[in-house]
Amino acid sequence: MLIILTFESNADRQKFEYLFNQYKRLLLYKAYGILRDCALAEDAVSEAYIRIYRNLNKITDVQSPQAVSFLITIVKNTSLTLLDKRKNTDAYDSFDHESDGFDLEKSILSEVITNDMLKLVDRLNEDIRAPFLLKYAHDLSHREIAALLHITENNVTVRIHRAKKKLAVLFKEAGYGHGK
Amino acid sequence: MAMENNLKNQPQPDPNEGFFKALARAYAAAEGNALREEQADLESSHRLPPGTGLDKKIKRKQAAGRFRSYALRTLPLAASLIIAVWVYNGYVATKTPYSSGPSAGASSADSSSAAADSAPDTETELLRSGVAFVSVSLPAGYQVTGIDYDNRQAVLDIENIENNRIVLTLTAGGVLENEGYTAVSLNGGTAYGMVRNDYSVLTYHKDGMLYTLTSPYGCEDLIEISKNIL
Repeated sequence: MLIILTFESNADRQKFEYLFNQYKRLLLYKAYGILRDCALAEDAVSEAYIRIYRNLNKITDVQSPQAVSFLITIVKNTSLTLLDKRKNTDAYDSFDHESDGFDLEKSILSEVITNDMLKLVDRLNEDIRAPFLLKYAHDLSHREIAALLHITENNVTVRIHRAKKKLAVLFKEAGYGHGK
Repeated sequence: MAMENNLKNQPQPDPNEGFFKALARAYAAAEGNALREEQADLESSHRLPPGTGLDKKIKRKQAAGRFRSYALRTLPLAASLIIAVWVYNGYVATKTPYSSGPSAGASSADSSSAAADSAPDTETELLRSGVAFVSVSLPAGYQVTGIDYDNRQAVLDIENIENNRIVLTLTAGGVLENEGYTAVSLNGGTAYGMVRNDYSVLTYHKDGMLYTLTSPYGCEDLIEISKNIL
């Protein structure tokens, strides 16, 4: 299928062209780091920019660090998809409804977000970190995340739940909530 | 009791939503800043790939989009012009001797002459229909940049989004000469192609018209255009 890029306004066109010209080489570098193949890296980044084009309205400030984070999240997803290391979606089709029993906010409400806490987010697998960030950092709905990552909405819900549950465990292990 | 059960069964808001938002936003900001620093470092040490292949892929899609937008804007005007040309030609045809049918009592010789004289008219109509058909059948990324009529032929100049030129000649009732050509199956029909060092040719018959396409840039464009015709 031939995909063509049309823009509703010059502002959208300029926004896309800025994101493309400014970050294409970095995204290629990152995709190559995952795929170890130049042609596949180009395919991954090309697909990523198509998805970025379809979600241009989610990027308000193209010069913000959040915009770069958004781009890299998408490129990692397209690269890993090409690498065929996605986990079987059946594994994410259901989850237990038990409470994690750990109320994060009560425990660290008075604490600022520290670099150590951000490192805990780093420890999440990309499969579950991506939808978590897309929802909470970039305010995408579950439907929008599903369309962006090419997974089902149910899958999105499950992965976000897994991310939050894993974070709760990591925070507990790191001693947060015990007066650290 | 029933009300309490109902409340228990309703999904409870996650008390950690606010924290997760703050955490995710801080992470995205930190990640973005780290990536920009990394990009600056990679650029200064010339370790970033050039990305020229990616340029071609994305900019081709953008150019096709620009052409599509232009085509959509001008399509009503183009359609109106084509209809106006048809109507005008129909009007002119009624005024030329060639278009007059045999009058009552005319001799058989006169009838034959009149029939023969109407042939060019039919061919002209056929050519114009062929030209109109090609114009609306071109795939995305191609546009007609010029049309010339000469005797029993119409010659269309076509360009793709990379400004590569293709010439399409329509010949009403033309004879297909395929000696030295290779038969190519296309959409259930047969076309004949030839590739030389400095040009390629693709030719075929359809609806009484001979289509001949030539290009100095290889046969991909010729096949792409012909997919919507044959």
